[in-house]
Amino acid sequence: MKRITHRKTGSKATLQAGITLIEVVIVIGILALAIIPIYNNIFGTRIQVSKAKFAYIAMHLCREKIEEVMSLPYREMDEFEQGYTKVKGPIVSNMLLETVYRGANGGRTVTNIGRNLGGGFVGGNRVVPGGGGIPLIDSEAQIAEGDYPAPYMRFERKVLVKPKGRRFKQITVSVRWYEKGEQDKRENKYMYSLNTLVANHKLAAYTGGRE
Amino acid sequence: MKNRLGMTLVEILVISGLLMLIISKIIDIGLSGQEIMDESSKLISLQNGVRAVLENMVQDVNSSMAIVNASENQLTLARYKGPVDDELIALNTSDVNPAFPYYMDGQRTGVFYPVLFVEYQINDPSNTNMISLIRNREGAISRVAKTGTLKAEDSPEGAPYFIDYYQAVGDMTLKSKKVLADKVTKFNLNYYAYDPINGQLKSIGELGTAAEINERISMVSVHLAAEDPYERKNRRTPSVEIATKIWSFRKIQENKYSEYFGHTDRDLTF
Repeated sequence: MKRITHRKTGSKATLQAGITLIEVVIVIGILALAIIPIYNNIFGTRIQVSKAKFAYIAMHLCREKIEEVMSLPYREMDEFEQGYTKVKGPIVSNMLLETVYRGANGGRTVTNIGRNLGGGFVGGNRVVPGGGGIPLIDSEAQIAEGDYPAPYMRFERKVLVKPKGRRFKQITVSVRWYEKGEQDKRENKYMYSLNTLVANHKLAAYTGGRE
Repeated sequence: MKNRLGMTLVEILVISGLLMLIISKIIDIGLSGQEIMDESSKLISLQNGVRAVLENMVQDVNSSMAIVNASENQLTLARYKGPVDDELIALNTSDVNPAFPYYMDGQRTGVFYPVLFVEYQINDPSNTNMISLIRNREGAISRVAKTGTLKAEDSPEGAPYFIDYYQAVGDMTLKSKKVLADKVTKFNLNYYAYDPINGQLKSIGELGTAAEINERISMVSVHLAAEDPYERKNRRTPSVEIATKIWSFRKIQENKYSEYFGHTDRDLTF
């Protein structure tokens, strides 16, 4: 700000000059800049809420798979090992429904008990529109009642079953997901993983010494 | 010399124009920020509800002893409340053998378990028996816990010497009732059980009578969705959708190790 002296009266009192255009523009610019971090904060919260949603879905994908593998006969667990596979299709898989626990043959047998009978879902096929602009979700995918919902196509699940000593197996289920698209796929930064140990309680006396 | 005090009309006009432009942008950013905050708030609220339902259900189903009422949008299960009281074993006519065999002199032995009955249900406006807690709340899911007694015995139709029939008997005492979630648009429950012959997992529709089904239910498939739409059509609807399956650990062990466990443990120590 400039301070000027009134020439006519010779007064020594000073007067405040007006604010120049440049000053006003700079001040408004600074104020506008101050809004950016506030806005970032709000937007960041929204992103974190979405991440929390995906992480929660991933946690349940891990938990249910752990329970599923735990429910299998000890010798059948290895069959359910898989690399990263997209989560889609029936919630209760045909493979699970085909597992026979005891009987003359044991193991899995091919049956015609499919998901159409599984669970008593009602209603026919329906098309669930996928997320617009998200290439990971196939917007044309047909999602039947009893299938994982379309947003689950973001997720991939891996199951590892490793023997630990003579009586234990370690089950590790990892779920990764993609929040935006191919960029996530390269970075591969979102991951949820659970693991547990399962013991074989069958005594050799009951299995003819096979286990 | 030209007086530099104040601003010219042109300057004021330019500044006003700039101010208008900047303020409109600021308001625009503020509004979109408010919308995002509102959407986040709705999402958090929906997620809290869905988490509350699933966390409770996972814990309850994992530790369930039997499902006593299974329908598409309602589930009642029984959990062990504590050690079995010896006085609650209702002997058959002969008191020589307290708990086994389950048949004595042509009559069945009943075993009475102190349990916690847990009921999940979604508000159904057409159901007049709906508890007042959720009757007027759209898409609300409630969890009601009551202590009571579960009677277990051999069913007349089933194979003898297997406890395969469970029934709630006597009075129940309300322990807690709470609304876990609001704005639920989908709450589908589907039940699976192990075939008693070969242990294969099957839809309950393929297995036995209603009484036997309850005892056999081993896994519940849950499809839960909640959404809180805006009145404006062009806004994205905040929603959460979870599909998962939950096992009863007791049923897993009974099925995997059928040679060790009966349909209930016969010395009542399980």
